[in-house]
Amino acid sequence: MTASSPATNIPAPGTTGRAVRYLARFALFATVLLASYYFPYDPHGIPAAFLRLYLASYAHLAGGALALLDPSVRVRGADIVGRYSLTFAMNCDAMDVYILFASALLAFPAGVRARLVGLGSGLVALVTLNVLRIVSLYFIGVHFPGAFDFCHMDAWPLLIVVSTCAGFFLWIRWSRALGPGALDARSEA
Amino acid sequence: MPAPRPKALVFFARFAVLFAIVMVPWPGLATAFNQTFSVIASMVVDACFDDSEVARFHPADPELPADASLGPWDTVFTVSGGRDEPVLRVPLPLRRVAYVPLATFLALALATPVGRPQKLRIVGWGLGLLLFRLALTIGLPIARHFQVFGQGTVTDWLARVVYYGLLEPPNQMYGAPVVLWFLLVFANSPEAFYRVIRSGSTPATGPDLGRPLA
Repeated sequence: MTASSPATNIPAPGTTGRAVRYLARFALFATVLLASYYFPYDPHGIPAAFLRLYLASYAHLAGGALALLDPSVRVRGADIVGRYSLTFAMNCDAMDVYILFASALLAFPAGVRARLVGLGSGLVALVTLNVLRIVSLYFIGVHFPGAFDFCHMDAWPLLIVVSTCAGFFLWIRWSRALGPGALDARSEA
Repeated sequence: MPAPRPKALVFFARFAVLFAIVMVPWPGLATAFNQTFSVIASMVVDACFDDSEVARFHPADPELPADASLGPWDTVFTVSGGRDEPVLRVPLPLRRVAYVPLATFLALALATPVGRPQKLRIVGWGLGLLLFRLALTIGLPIARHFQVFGQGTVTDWLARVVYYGLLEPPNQMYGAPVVLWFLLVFANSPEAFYRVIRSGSTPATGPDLGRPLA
């Protein structure tokens, strides 16, 4: 509810600033996180080595989940090799979605505890969903290779974005249900 | 008296119907969108190149060997110097880079429970920003191809961050219009946003985040 007078419909002073602050905080978080991840690091430098390690770890996580269903699956670096081969590149981790979700959530005027719970549970849910995506794409590649592109480029992006939105909206409702204390001025970043 | 329908359900039902309508592969839709886009985009890029170069978008022609792998949703951007062979030839999947983001945003904006003036503002800003995003999606790789930003400059890495973080990932085909819709609705009418996510039908009481910005 906006703070406006019913008689005049004039917004209370300072309320526009709060909406602007939200958008500015969102932009700031998103810019910093996107720049940190997508910066063109020197391939021989430490950040690039960390990035490769992270992608290889993610590939092992997905490969481990796949190996439960198909023992022939092996992971070599960022490559998942089996009856169908997948290369785990940047963006296969859905980092763009994690970053936008985290930025929208961290910028939102809620309490610190609500934000931490939302961020932690949201990211765990998104990583789980993404691993499920990789597992499903592997089996689609094995059994229905003709449908791989559609599932990879159309169906899964839609499912991931819809799930992220649903999670974010549920988190807002939950954080608001914590009471006015979660939304007071002190809790704003 | 019948119980009023929850606003959130009404919004999601409206959005689902609109989204389904725009996503159905209607006969002729791809060709019409592709031709319209190619004509308008060609006029726009004409202004960006000097007279010695000819820059054009044209719908892919699967009869040509070079376009054999392309379909009705693909357009081809070419730059050529007069009568010479094209110096640059970039196929563009229009459905992914243009149609789906625009259509998704329109479906979301039209389903949003706000008054007509606010809806028009949201649609106007949203489509404008998505067209700007589309221009970046097409323009950044071409600019980098011609080394417009130099190599290793701040502009160059900024262009790479924007391209690989916000424009190229397949998730952003849906993610970009959804984030844009959320930000515009939130900025224009926070109470409308709370109506959307609220399951009850009573008036929403979201945190006081202010009056419309745009």
